[in-house]
Amino acid sequence: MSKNNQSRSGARFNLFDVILILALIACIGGIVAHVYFISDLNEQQSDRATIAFSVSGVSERTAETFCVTDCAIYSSENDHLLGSLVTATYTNQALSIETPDGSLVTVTHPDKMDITGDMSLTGTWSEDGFLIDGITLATVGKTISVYTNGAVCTVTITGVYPQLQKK
Amino acid sequence: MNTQNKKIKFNLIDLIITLIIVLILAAAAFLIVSSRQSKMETRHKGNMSFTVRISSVDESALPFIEQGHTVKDSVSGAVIGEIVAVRQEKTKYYGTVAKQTEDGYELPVSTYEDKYDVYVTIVATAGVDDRGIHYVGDTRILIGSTVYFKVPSFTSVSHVIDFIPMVVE
Repeated sequence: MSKNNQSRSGARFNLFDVILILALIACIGGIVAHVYFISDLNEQQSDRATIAFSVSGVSERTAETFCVTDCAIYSSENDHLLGSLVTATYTNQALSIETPDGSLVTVTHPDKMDITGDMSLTGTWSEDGFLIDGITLATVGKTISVYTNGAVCTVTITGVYPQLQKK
Repeated sequence: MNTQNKKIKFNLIDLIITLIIVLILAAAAFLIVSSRQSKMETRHKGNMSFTVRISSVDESALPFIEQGHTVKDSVSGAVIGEIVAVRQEKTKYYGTVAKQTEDGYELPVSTYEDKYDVYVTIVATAGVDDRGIHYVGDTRILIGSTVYFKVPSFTSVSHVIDFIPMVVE
């Protein structure tokens, strides 16, 4: 009895092996689907929003290099192209500091600049708001690190506005 | 009895499973390595110079930052380039109480006696990608980029304040 079974041994079809193979096939299928799904998701990011931003306390050289209208904006985290700079201007940084008698006055910093402007960024609109690049929720007060081909800055979002799609 | 002659049977199914696992690992490794290599290979290479600022350096540390020294990345250990020029200015201190002037108030500015902002110009072998972004190793060279500066006996965080773009032929 056992001899007959053993003499025919070659590929013994073990149930555990079947489960393992099916699991591996499922993993491979999942990876392929994930890759294609992500690429579809990136192509679907046709929504745009106007993001108002500010940058505080940078050098004049940084401000001058960053504030180039229509330049491409990239994410410092993953190098994705996020959109473009619509408008940007810079002025001497305004500071509120104390006077000798204890009141507050606004003075300008002689060496540091503040930048304000708007960016046109791609992403998707969700019920929570606009997702920049489909990843980062754009909320007022949030900071993101972005760069152009000349400078890198940490911008603070000050406004999020829908942008009409041009047909 | 049977246990003495017991052999390890080579199961064909186990072999298939092993091969699948090896193939998956090899494919993953290939994808990761080739992705990195293709990014590096698309960059045009050449020399570029850029200037970093190291803020608030103690006066006693100034002799360690000299022309001719090789600069390395203090995080990765990779060579960044060679120092070709060094300049220093006393570090400014901006007061917290407004100073009265004829026109109103202004931010008071003074300088530290023993701290300096050091401006170091470095020549490096760089690459520029299709977007026009310059890289020295894995470090993007942009105004405001952080460079983890290291020379013998001195390390500090520095920031790029200027660069001369590479001429790509």
